[in-house]
Amino acid sequence: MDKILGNKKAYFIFVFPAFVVYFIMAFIPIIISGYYSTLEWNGIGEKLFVGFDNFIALTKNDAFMSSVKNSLILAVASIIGQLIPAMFLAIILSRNIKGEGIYRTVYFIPVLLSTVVIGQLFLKIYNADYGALNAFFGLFGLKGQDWLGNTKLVLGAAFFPIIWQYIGYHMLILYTGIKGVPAEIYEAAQIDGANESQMAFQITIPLIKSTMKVSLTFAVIGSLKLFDLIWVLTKGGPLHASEVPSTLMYTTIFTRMEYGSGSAIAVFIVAECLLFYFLIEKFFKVDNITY
Amino acid sequence: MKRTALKKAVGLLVSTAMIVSLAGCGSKDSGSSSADSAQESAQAQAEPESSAEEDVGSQTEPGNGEQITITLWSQFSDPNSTDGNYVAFYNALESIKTDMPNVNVVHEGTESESYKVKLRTAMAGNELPDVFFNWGAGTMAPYVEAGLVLSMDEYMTDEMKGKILGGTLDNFTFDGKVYGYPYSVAVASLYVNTELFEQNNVKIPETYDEFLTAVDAFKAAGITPISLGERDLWPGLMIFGIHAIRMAGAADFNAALNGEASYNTPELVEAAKLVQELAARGGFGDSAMGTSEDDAVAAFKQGRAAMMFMGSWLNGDCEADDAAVKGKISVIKFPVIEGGKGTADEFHGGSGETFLVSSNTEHPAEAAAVAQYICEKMSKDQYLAGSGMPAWEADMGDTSELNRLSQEIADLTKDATGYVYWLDSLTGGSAADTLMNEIANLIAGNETPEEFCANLQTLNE
Amino acid sequence: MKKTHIPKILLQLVLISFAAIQLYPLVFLFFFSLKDNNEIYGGNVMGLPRQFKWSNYENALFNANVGNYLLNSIFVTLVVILVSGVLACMVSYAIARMTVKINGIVKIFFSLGLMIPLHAVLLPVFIMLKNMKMLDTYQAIIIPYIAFALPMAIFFMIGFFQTLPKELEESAFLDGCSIYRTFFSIMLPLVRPALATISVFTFLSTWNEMMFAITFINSEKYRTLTVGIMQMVGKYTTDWGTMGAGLMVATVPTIVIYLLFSKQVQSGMVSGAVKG
Repeated sequence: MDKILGNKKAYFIFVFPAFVVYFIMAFIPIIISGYYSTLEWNGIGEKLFVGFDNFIALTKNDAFMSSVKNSLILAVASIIGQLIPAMFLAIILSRNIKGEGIYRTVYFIPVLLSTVVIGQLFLKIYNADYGALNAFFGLFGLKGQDWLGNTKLVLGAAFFPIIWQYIGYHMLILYTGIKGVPAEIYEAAQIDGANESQMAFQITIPLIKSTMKVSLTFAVIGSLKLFDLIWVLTKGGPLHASEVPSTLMYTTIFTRMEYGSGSAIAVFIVAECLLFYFLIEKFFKVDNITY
Repeated sequence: MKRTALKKAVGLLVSTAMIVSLAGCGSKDSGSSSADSAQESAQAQAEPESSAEEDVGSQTEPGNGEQITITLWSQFSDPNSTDGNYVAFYNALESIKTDMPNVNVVHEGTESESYKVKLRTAMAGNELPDVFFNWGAGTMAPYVEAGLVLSMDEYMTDEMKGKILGGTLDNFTFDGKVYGYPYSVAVASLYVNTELFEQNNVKIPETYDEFLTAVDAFKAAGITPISLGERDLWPGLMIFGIHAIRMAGAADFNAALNGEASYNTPELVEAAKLVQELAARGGFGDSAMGTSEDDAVAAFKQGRAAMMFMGSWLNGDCEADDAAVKGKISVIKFPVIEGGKGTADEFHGGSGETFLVSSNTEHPAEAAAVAQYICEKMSKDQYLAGSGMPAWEADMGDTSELNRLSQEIADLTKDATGYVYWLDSLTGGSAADTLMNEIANLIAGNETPEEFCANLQTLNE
Repeated sequence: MKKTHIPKILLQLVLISFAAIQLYPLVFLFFFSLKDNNEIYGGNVMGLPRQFKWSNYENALFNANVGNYLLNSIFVTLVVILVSGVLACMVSYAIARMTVKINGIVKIFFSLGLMIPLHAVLLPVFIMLKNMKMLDTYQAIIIPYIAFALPMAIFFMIGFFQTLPKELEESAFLDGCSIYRTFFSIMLPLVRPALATISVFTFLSTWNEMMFAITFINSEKYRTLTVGIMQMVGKYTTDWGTMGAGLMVATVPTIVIYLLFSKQVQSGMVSGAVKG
């Protein structure tokens, strides 16, 4: 057994094809990006090597510091706001409930829609003049707010759709994991008289730990490098109040034309993600399961 | 039943898996085999380009009847757009087929936000097309410095020089060399909804005091006085821009923007103060910071805002069939500010968009000719389509169908004594980004006018 | 049995109300696609269009080269899903099950791809493609898409392979199956639900991707649907209703694909396989 699973040639054959594609198109570009982060370069003129200056400058950049803080807030909010509802839905849907197929489809719809659509929807909801939210407030005689224009409100307003949109995404991941648990185990538990919540906490959750880890990792890394929806909704504004590292990186590279400084933000994002990746690996150890 | 179907599906997947893995380490091959012809044609295109570098300068004159392909990139991405500039561009693209039969122009249009990303990446990767749309002044300066674009001096005949209107080349001229032809003069003016002014018994402002009176009156009536989409940042630049022009005068303000003079002058501090006060008294409504330019235009177009300070591209929107304000809009000069050095005949705007020729092009003469053709043709057509002022002298023919507002702007600007171009294009890159953020801070009341000017001054140091 | 009725009805109520919330964005898009700018900007934002402007669909479908864009999108997406799915299964099986020392490093190496902000690698990928003379071809987007789909697929599949019982392979090896056969004929069928899920994710990211497609492709003949639709955004004016119609057209295939694939997930593991 171990001999077969330790076969280096087989390992090579399994890994190599993916390795080549990934190495050329993803890994080398990261390394190049790392190299750019040590330069002062506008993308077209001369490259000036400045060592760690770009990183040092970032620590003095208020917009960058607040963008990091925002992304950490989002990571925590995503864990709570995405994974808990997603887990709940996945467990319920996997129990052969009436309408399983319909719910599973409908709950996933926000993930299927492109960022442009979700962005437009929430721009209309939040609009200060004619938005649905202010109209709703108006019903109760409350004063409307400039949701995306107020530096105190913008973060919550912008993060809400981001978190909400991907509930269905994590639901599908966890649902897939649960569906991988052999039905026989539930049958045996039922015979023993276990109720639904006992089964959820004593069978499902322990058995899909590795899938939960996947979901957790995706949620955290996804939050730390988030770009699309925040760009459509606020572009990081007003006054950097909803800035996240990726939006700042985008403006730095493509508007300010500072490739070096922008790449330094990219390197920071990768490093930050790696840190959380290792933390999750460490505190969420999963052993291979034997039934 | 179901299970066998599933098994088949999985079987299919597995057998494809086998094929892929049997093909060896050739994940790359599997992609290309399905698109062999595509690759060939692309290589065929790529090869002459790769040798282009050696050919720079050596002009290749085509023989008669020989077809030359010129690649052209622009931000005019939608052929069905009703925007005057887009209409004019696609007209030119059509007529060039008959007017320059030996040149085959291959156009690639990209939506404007993505266009900048695509262009800058291609530029950094040294893969520029022969001709490409670009903004002038500060945006263009780094390209000139890096030698990426070709000077037009060699190709500009006296006849062309005679037709190009004075001053329109300024933003494309570096060290006395001209790098691009102009195609329009876009001017910002104050758009006023005359119906709202009449209904609320407000006088259309001729002085800055009357302007403030109007602002207060509309504010009191629950109408947004000035529609401003500050979420997109650049609209705020225009508000500060015109105040600075009125306070400091076009010449002095240009000097500060070019780094030849300081921002720390009493006039510019006063301009900043006026902008801040205007925002504080509700001049831009309650929600300018969260409003996009699209929304700001829509609010004005639907008659929910009384005024808008915007570039002449707004003409088409105001006169569109679906606009509630059609026929009710008038354009006026932004009022003179008492105590300021600027006059009413100094304007915000100018000529700053062009088509540049890559210095790597294999056919410099033809590429320059294409750039010149498009600019001259667009100059007339975008004017007739109701966008900006023309930059080339031309017989405009019958102008009775011309957008009413375009004609009004033409009248307003006929005695223009000075222009300050859009601040973001003028400064470019990080300076433009800093300016936009500073002005957002100013409007939001986060810094004093003095701090604002001092922060701008750091750009000049 | 009786006392479980009320919670069940309550549960259904919760599920239905959440379904209504989740369904609304699609309804919103559909209404949006039948409006004009006046309604979209303030006149009538959320509700039914006052007048169904079907001409938006005409504009979206017939003015632009939508048919060709759609074919390109389907072709590119299919290749990416197929290749990345198979490659990811192979790698994740090796990492999750095989006992080779470098496993940990290989996993981190591929996981790194999850963490890259794509905008930062736009230029480096562009330069790689240029050096391989692949700019402005189908490969110019297909290969980067595969490369950036792999990390997520691998990471996800590892988690799934880890849940499979070891006894399965043991008995196969005892029967004299080679590792390749065991992988293809025993393990691969077992991870089918996970493969379906990851195909949905790969599909969505490939289908909706714009930045690579815009930057690496110049010729209209290779243009994908999402890019084609986004070109309707103007510098100063955009006909949002027509955009909405285009987005609606681009969304329908994603719903179909999701229905097909998620059904594969529902059926779960082939019953009895585990006890094998």
